Amino acid sequence: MKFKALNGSFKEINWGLLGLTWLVLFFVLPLLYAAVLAFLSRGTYGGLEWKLTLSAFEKLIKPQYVWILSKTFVLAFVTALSCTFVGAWAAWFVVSRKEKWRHFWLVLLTLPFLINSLIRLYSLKGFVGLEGPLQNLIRMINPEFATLDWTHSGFLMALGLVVTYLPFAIFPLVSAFEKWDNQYFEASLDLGASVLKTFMIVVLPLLKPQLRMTFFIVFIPSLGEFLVPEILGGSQQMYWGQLIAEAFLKWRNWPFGALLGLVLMVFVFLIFQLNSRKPVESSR
Amino acid sequence: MNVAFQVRLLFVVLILSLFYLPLLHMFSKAFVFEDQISLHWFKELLRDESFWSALGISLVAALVSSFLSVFLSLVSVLYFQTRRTPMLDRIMALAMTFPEIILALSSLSLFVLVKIPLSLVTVVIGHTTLTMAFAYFILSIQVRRLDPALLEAALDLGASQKEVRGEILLPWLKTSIISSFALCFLLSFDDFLISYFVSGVGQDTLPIKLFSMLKMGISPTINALSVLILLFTLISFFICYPLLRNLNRSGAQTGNREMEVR
Repeated sequence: MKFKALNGSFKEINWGLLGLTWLVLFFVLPLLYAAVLAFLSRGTYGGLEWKLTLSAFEKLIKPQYVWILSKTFVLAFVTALSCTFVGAWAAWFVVSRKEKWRHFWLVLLTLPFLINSLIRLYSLKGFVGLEGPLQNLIRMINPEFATLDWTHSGFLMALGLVVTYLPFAIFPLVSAFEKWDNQYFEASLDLGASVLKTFMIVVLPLLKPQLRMTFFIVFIPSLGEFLVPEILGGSQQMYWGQLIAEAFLKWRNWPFGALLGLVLMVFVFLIFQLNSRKPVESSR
Repeated sequence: MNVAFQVRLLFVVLILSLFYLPLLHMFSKAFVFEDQISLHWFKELLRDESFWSALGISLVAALVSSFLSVFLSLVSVLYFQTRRTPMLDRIMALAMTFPEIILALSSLSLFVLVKIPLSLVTVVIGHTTLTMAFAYFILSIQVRRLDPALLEAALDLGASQKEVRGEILLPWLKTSIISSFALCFLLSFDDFLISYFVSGVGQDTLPIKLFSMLKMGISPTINALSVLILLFTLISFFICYPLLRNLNRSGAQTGNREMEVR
């Protein structure tokens, strides 16, 4: 028994349970309560009635909500996919720099992670959005360019999501890359493969498990994204995260809001179960 | 400077410009008033009393919640030491990747159920839950880099558990503690969604204030406010950057040592 000497008395470990207790109290319990909440019904004045019903479910089964859910899924999927690819490219670039430059590039690429996402989205809106310098530039080249297209097609939102989550993708990929010898990639380039080809047939296959994980690291939080569609989406658009906030804070229909959250939770748990064999440490 | 390098560099520069050009654009707008460079918008912002109260609330919430997060995860790490804790790890991983909006809505419902009035206290609780996992993983990864044999040796040579914690683990974790505190502070200071759900009436944090300004319409004071928050973030980053770098390096060294031992 290697760890025998380390096992203190039971009392010792009790102290260590403080953190777990906090999480159970303020993370697990609220989740369970929210799951129960979905089966209660709304009182006349916006309160709750402690009667089990399926009234929230009846409200949910409408084509418009299915449409919103599928839209949200498509957006999250596109975001996660592009973050994984762009992140892999950027991580490859960082890792193939010389030791002393590596840190510089890594900091440049991940510094935005620390900047308030509201500020980043707002500045992105000012830059790329209506009457921003980028669109003015495009209109100088192509006067036919219609400004509203980007908002309506969801392009702006996808851009915002990628900017928000890219640093999340770069961190784990860089640490995964460091295990690989740079000679693999250099050999491929020296033997005449183009950069893109090297990326597709050498870099990506080597990183397959990490790419999958990175995909989900981005996919899960972007399913519930609220700020990006709220700031960058047009007023016509509605996504799942916004729907939850509306149900809770505006309509005051908590059972319905909790049910919307529950739908999301079920998906997250399914994804977690599918990936549960992955060791946790490698995720950061 | 071969072609392959240039192709890759071009792509990375594109990504970087997507990150930084908008910020620069915003920066430049914040300093312009009636086509002249001036600090007009900053003065206007600093006169606003709700800005100061939001700043105060944000700072208090960030300080208290990151202190709590680091304390709670430090206690877990110190007492579990190098033992594997799959259950705790899984809950932490779940708390870290879960969509924040679910955490926000479930916290709100529980607070209302147990009748904790929505206030600074609930914001602190929410932020602690949000940031604790980050502190925990930074600390526990660092602790697992320590060779368990060292702890065993200390115990064999007669050190008590208390001495092991105070004289081996704490010094070993020093830089990680500081960097995890800084990270928690930034995460809490920047958090919008949880505060949006659980903050009390009239107790807006800075991001909520920013959001409501955004919703009201474009006013150049927003630029000034953003620039201030940005500067604050950058300053705290550059304060803890040398520490983070140090942490990385010591991690790499122990990694090498482990390789040699094998």
